[in-house]
Amino acid sequence: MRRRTVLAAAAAAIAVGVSGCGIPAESKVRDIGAGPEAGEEVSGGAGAGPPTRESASTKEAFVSNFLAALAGEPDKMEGRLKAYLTPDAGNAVQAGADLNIVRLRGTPAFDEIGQGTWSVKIDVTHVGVLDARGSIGEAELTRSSYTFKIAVQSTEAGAETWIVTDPPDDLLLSTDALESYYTPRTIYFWSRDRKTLVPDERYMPKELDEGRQPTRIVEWLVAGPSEWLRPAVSRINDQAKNNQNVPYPKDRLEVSLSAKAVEQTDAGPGVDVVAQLGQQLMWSLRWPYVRDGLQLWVDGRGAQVFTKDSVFYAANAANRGPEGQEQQEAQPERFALVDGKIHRLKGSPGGGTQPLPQLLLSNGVNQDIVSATLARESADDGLRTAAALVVRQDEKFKLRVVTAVGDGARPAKETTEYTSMGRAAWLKTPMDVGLVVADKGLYQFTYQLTAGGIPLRRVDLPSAIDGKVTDVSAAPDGRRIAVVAGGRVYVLGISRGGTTTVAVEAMRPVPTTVTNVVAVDWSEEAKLVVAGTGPDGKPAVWELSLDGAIEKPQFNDTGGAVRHLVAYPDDPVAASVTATVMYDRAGAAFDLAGDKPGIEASDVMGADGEVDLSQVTAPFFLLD
Amino acid sequence: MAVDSRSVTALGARVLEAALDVWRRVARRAVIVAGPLHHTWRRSLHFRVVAITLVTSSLLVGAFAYLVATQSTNILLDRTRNAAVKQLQVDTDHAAEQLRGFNQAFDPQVQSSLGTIASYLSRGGPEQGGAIVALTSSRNPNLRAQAFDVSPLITPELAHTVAVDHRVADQIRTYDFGSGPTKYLVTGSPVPTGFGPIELYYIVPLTTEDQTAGQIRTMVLLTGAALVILLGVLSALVTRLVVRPVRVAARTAQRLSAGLLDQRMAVHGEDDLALLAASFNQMATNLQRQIVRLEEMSRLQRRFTSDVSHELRTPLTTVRMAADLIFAERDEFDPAVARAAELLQAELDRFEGLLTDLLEISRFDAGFAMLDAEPTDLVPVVRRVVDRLDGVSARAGVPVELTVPETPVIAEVDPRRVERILRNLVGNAVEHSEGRTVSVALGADDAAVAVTVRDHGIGLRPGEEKLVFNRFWRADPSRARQTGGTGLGLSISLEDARLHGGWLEAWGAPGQGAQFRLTLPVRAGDRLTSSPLRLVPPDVVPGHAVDARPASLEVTA
Repeated sequence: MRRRTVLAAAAAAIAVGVSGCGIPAESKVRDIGAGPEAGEEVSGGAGAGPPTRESASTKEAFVSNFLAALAGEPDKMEGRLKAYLTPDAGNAVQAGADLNIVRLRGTPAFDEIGQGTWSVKIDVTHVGVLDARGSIGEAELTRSSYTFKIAVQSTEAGAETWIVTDPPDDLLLSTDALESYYTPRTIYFWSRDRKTLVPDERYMPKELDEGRQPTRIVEWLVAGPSEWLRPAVSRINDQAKNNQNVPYPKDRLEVSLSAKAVEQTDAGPGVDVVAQLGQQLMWSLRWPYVRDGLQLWVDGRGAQVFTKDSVFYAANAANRGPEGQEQQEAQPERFALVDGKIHRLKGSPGGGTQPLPQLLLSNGVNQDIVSATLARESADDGLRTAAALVVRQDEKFKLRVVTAVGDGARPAKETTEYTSMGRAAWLKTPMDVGLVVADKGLYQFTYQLTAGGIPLRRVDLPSAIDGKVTDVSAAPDGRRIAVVAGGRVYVLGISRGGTTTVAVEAMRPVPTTVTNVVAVDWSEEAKLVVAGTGPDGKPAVWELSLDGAIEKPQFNDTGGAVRHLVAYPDDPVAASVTATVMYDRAGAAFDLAGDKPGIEASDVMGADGEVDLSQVTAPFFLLD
Repeated sequence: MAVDSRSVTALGARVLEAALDVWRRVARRAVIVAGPLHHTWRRSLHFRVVAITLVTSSLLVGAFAYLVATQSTNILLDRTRNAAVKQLQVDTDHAAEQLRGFNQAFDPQVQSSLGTIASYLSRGGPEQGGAIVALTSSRNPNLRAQAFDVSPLITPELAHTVAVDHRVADQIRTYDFGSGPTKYLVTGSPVPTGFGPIELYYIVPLTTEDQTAGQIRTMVLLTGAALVILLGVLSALVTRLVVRPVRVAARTAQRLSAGLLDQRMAVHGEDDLALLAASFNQMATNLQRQIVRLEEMSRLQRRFTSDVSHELRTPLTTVRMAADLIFAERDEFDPAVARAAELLQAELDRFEGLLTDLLEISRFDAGFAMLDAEPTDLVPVVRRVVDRLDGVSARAGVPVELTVPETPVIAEVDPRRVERILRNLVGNAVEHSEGRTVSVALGADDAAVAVTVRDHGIGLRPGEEKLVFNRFWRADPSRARQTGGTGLGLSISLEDARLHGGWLEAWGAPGQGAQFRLTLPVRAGDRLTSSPLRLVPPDVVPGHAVDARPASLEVTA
């Protein structure tokens, strides 16, 4: 018996030994350490959404709220709308219908049609259609008024609330609500020749957590440019998204894209796609998300860090220099015409005491001028300056073009004569082509070294632009232009073939309250200033976004119709709030930057004797 | 989980039962094997050394193997654990970053983000043998993301440690995802997010580690087993080296003791064993020389006795004839001379008897004694002996009782020698019975016949049972040889009994007389195992029985 026990013990020991030295099938929970601490707190909670139905205390406020109800995240739109509607009306709501941005004309008209029931009539102008990517496309509807019915409802607490019993036929969002519940965000796409970034305006719902906004912007970038801009810019491969969020807030943003991101079919040889992608992301996320650069992961590899270096600032041609004090205080050089001659204005840097640029000093250049465009750009061979001067001789107009590289001015050349001619515009990056309106048509020109005059070549405009072209101006990136035709404003996306040809690729009208627009210029890379007739029938200068959804009067003048308007585009990185604009009308010229808008006689430098203010015309900036 | 544990319990019970069954069978077999083993254990030094070596080395190697296997497994496991913790940290950071933007758990994009994170972090699934990453939310059970349903791998204890205690913890679990049970290392960590904590589990299969551990175990076991076997073989060889000469020495010694005096051991080399063999051989040589010398001396002595006896016969015959003549004429002599003639006659008779006995003894010593066995009825033989000694007993006043079976007792014996033995025994009894009765009994069974002769004289002192058969031995040396007897009678009787393959034994006790027993096999050449009659007489007073053992077994051997 004892021997058996011993044998059993031995067998057990062997069994334990053989099985005991392997990896156990189950183990106890082993504590390793404390869990990670929560990182940087996300600022605030969820962003502000539109007001709820119950929050209105008057029927006017209710209607205003109702026209804001659809603001916010697209996937919550339907639920919010239904909250404003009676169940019967809610059932009729169609999911996925377009969200129309409308500008209210006047206040809503209430007509009591029964006990606690009103019919509401609103007069509107359709501005555009807001899509899920935050882009406002061209308006599809032209209806000018809507009628819907609201009713009073008493809550259990006894308070009075309103409800929509019969909604308008379309989904409507007022421009006021757009401004209140969305933040404009500019994202960028490379131009088709990949030389500069082209801005694309979007609207970010304030409802979206701030921490998720960078992710949303990357999604927008991958999804592609706005519909109207699409033909004029390069796209990112739409498979580039790898479903990674962009962690935010974080000192260094980390953007992760799939391997498809570097497969960009329209990228020509010699283009560093990753570097361009990085700059595109940097510019698109620049404000307010990028703090200390951005790290780009493509397919989890090749992390490249992008910071706000010179390459970054050079990527967007609209930007002149790094942000900072110097840039804030920089003033454009201002000029004006007196008796057909160009003079500096006092508002220029250094009080305007410097001589005129060298290229204007040649014999016979600075005379008979009715409007001038002066631009400057750094090129490979040095600082290039170009002047496009419209001159009038014997009631005929022609274009005089002078260019200079450094101090070496080339001889002035002129075009043939036209019966009318508007102000010319230089297209930048590279600055070798100009546009001018002549005989109500749009023409392009380029300075050629060969002997003879400068030919004007007609630029074909889309057939949708009817009427006579009266003004043209170029965006600082040189890839978009704005034209005025038939009193309306259009923005065109252009491509630059070779070095000297321009082709219109994309077009959209810019709806605006201003009618009979006579002049347009770019006050920012994505904003225009227009001069025309205001809603009160008086001359007006307004600043508008490219989609026309956001507009702001800059100056109301009772003097007379504006003849000429120029703007100095703000740097995209500058925190400027007011547009730098100059214009003239019969008898006076104005500089909206100063305290006193009117340009005084003393402001004109280098003039002989007393200056007649009525002779001071066509002020302009040196665009650099 | 309940189903699991139940099935595990059932499985455990089955395994236990099977193990018990095997154990019972092994134990039974072990008992069968152990008997002979035990015998071998006691008999074989070789076996013992090998067995001890095997057991000791098995224990040592087993302990070492256990240490090596455990340590290597621990190292493997630690490495995997550290790697998992590092990876978990990276994954947790990633998940925390990815989820940083969310503030509300009910945001539908939280769920999709969780799914994206889980699938991004997972490296294949159980089928591919890659790590699995699962995200759960203890606060929000609907919020979870996992490529596979890994909930059976996450125990409530682990979930509690991670989610409630906010600790990083791991646990090893075994689960079958369809491709056989696999061990998994489940490492969990809480992930801080803006919408409340969630947990991230990094689940890495231990397939490779398990295989490696198994390989190490197998290797260590095989190496250990090989080592043990090697040690066993080595010890067997070494022991054999020592034991073989010892066995040879034992065998040689056995042969020597059996009389083969010229057996010697082979001497190889100069080591201790060679010394043993040489010494053994030396001893054997010395013994042989001594024995041969003693044999020679003994032979010479016997020859001398025989020759002396022969040589004495012829003069004795002459002396006898002269003495007979003088004895016949004694009446005419002076009475003193006549008395001398009578004495001469009597001493000559004694001398003649002595010479006869000496010749007989020397024949036995020389090995010339031959058994002339024939089937004989022993009853008349016994009767004849008693009758012949009738005169002597009557003269001594000793009654002789004779007990014989009614039927003839036939045995293959030499009647002349048997008669001589019995005459000697009965004569001795009558001589020492001091007037008391002498009993003679004959007994027989299938294998043996026996005759006992009992007297009630002074008996024998302890130890004298053997001495009585010595040549010329007397119980009381001071006692004169009045009653004749040459002192060789019992010696010759013993030799006669031995020649038959029989026994002649004596018993005696002081004051209780003595009894002699002759036992002979019924068939000549048979081996005796028992006697039909008892050596110790039944009338012995028990307290006085000094030694009841058959003292003369050795004599008969």
